[in-house]
Amino acid sequence: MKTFHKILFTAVAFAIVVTFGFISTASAEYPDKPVRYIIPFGPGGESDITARFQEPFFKEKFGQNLVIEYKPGGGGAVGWAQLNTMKGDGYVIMGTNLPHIIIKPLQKDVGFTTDDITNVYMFHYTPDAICVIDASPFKTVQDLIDFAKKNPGKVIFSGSGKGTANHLAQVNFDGMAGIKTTYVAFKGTGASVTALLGKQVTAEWGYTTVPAKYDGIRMLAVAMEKRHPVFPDVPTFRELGFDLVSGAYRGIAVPKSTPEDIRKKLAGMIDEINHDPAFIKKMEDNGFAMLNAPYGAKVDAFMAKQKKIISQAAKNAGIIK
Amino acid sequence: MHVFSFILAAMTPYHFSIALGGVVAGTVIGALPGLTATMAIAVLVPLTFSMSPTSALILMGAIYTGAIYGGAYSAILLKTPGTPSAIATTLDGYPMAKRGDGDLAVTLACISSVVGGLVGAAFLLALAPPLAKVALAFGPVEYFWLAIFGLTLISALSEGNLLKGLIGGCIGMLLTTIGVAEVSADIRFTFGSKTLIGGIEPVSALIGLYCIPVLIDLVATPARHLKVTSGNRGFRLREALSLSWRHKFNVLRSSVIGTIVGILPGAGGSIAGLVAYSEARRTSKHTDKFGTGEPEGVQASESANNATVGGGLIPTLVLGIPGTPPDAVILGALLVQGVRTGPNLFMGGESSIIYVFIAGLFLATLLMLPTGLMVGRYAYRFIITVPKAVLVPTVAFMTIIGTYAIRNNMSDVVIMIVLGAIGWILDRCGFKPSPIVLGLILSRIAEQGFVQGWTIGNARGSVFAEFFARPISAGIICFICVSLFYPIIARRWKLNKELQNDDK
Amino acid sequence: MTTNKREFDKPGLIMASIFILVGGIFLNDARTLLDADSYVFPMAICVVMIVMCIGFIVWNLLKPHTDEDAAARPGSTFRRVGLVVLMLASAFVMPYVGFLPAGFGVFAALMAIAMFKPWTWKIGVIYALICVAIVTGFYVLFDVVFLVPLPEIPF
Repeated sequence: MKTFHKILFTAVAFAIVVTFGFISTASAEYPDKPVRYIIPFGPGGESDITARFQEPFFKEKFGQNLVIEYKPGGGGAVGWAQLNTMKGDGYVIMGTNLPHIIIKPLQKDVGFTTDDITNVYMFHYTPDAICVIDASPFKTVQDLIDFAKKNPGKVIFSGSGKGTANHLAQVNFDGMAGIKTTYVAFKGTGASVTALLGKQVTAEWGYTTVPAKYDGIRMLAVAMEKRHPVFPDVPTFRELGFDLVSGAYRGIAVPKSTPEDIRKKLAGMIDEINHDPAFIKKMEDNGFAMLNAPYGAKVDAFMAKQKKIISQAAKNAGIIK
Repeated sequence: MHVFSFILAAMTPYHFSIALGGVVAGTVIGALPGLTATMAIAVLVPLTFSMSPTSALILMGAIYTGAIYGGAYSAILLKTPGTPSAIATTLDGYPMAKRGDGDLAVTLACISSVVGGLVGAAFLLALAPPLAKVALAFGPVEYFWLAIFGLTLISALSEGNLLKGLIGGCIGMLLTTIGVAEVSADIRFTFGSKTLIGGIEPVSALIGLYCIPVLIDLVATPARHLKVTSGNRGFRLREALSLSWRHKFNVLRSSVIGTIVGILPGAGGSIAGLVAYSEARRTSKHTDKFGTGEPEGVQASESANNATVGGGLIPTLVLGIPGTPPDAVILGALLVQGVRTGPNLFMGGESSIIYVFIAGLFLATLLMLPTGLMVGRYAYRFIITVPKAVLVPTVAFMTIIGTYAIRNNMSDVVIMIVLGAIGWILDRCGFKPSPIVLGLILSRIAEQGFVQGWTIGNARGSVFAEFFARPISAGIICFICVSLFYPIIARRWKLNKELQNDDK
Repeated sequence: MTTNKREFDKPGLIMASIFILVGGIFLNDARTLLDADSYVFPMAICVVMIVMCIGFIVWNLLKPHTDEDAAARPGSTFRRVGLVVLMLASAFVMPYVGFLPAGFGVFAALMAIAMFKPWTWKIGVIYALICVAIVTGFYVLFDVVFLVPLPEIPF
């Protein structure tokens, strides 16, 4: 009987320990396991790179890994369409891009609408910029405009795709400057820059990240409110008289089913990374521009404003009716 | 030469073990259909954050090298390219395996891969900055003609059934138009289906068109999968080495082709293998044997695709423009580490990273010879001895999970199976899978090049001049004409000669 | 290539006709595309394909010959169809049931379909163990090493 008591005692003790274990994991701090960070594009793009930048900061501050996964397809549509089918426990987050998530649903039925995407934070953007190679005869934006006025259609811009920030910028600027230029869409910023470097095109509608990453390229102007800290010599379009402030905005979204407190927590975490000086420096050194639009009123207002601007620009470009 | 001091620096036990582990892991990953070199490297990127940039590069390079080689296993033994770069290896590798020469094919693949890798790495070492300019000289129009050149291979692959081959190629090209368009980002031919918005993923289509029909036929009869010749012939190393020596020109030329194709951004191992295969076939004395199990085909494809490892790194490291898809991941990892690409990597203070890395690449490639032979031996033994009731479920299961892992999408698996069934039916009707696959792989490049070239040509004033008057394009067009008409001319010339001899 | 039999290449002709239909469907759908950049290439391919299919049909009707490469394959149609059906079923079921159950199921079923020798208890046990080992092995490889999010068991 003594052995039986011993066994009984051990079993009960074990059960108590295990139960406490479960309870403690149930009320454990979020995050207590790695977080899946899904990039709805292939590797190597801006979304991927900024996610990779965030990865070590996340690990350092919150103790868990950010596991980056790629889910390419449909220019992001496949990933975004599947977002709300995923578990809303805070361990699945997805990268989002403007103008894509605004324009795509307006073009065709792509499996999601803009409102389906629950953005918790918009954390950076890549401002539009006109890029030329160092040897280009164009030294200022005015040079380009003069040439374009004399040779309509002969100025060829490369850009990272149709319906992207690059394309919209080209359409908008053509309208503002009263010129007609040709836009050739390439698959992503990399191919677009290659075309520029290879002199296949006259100039590129790219981002401020381009001269930061590639040698031999300079910018004529940037579409920002103030000059970029890393490129103090490049004027903004506003300074030159064109009200052009735009770019590709990127953020993080969660499935709709994610509870409110997790959304806020996640937003707080991204916010913390976004205010880390080392992170800011890394982003800006690589040409990115910071943006802080956290979950709640701020991100809602941001999305509402951008929706208006972008859908108008897309209509002008003839991408949507 | 100071480079040798860097080679010694690369030979630390730590680097040695990374290179060894990387190559073996890469080989295994590459052999599994559905898992590509890109994926393998992407998974390991977080690991590299805790390493120095040099070690990270060596690890990624080793895995890359191993994976590109590993694709040959399933290509030869299962007719399924383990990675897209092994497509051309299936063309002669699988027939070789079918007739019992699978071990020879695997050994040949190993030797050719090693040579190709060394040649690519050598170009990277010696001529990277000037060669990077080649990457820039290729514009949309050049890519278009390159794709057309690749498509002419259809005529070679469909001897006697040219019409069916061309129709198959068109079907392949049409399949890629489903989903988001290359240039216009329009959504095409989804017929209302949300699943098809993602388009048909090329690797899953590859597995579907090549592997599933093999499985379907395996299941139908109790006959053995591959012919097994009696006796243990070991590696057949001597035989393979003598073959490699005899065809050394083929191997070297294919390696150079592979390096150059690797330099072109957007063109990867698959195109390199196909172009090299096409050239090898054209210039070989045994042209007619290609497709029935001619060793030269395997040699050409494998040396070319491993040469793209070194070749692809040229624009990646010099310009920051990835030469092949895995290079994009490597670039991302380097960026996080703070390594700035550019010509200054090859000189100045940072040069040590590059030279130690290239030395590591040489090391990994050389290590691939013994490890590749060993792994190959076990793979071969496994496939031929395992009973069908285990082989079929294992391979089927592998394709399901491998295809799922590409985009974490179950619909890719469904598409793969459906395409497989269709592919089997088409094969039954005389429409072989290879032309369809060629169309699938080359269509995007062709369309992109065409539409972009058209837009630029229009803006410049003459579309005709844009497509035909550019020097590199003209060169490629000449190549295409030679490729297409040379066999006809050569045959007629031979006939004339015979007639002349008869007259005497 | 031509055989002595003056027979039509029936499978080829049927397929070519189907392709003409497919080409027509695509061409029709391409009319909804507004951007020239979108429709120019697919339309060109469809036209080329339809022309070649017609050419093939006409040629075969004029000079009937069967395709030697496309000879009928011996073997059990039941097993062939079974393989495809099983694989499709596992793909559809897996997101709902989870990876491991569906994996074990399809593996075991395929073993049954590919088995040509008579079953014995010994073989049954060994094969069951192999099934468990391989499926679990791949699961671990993909889930733990590659961090692929495999469908979870929903309970």
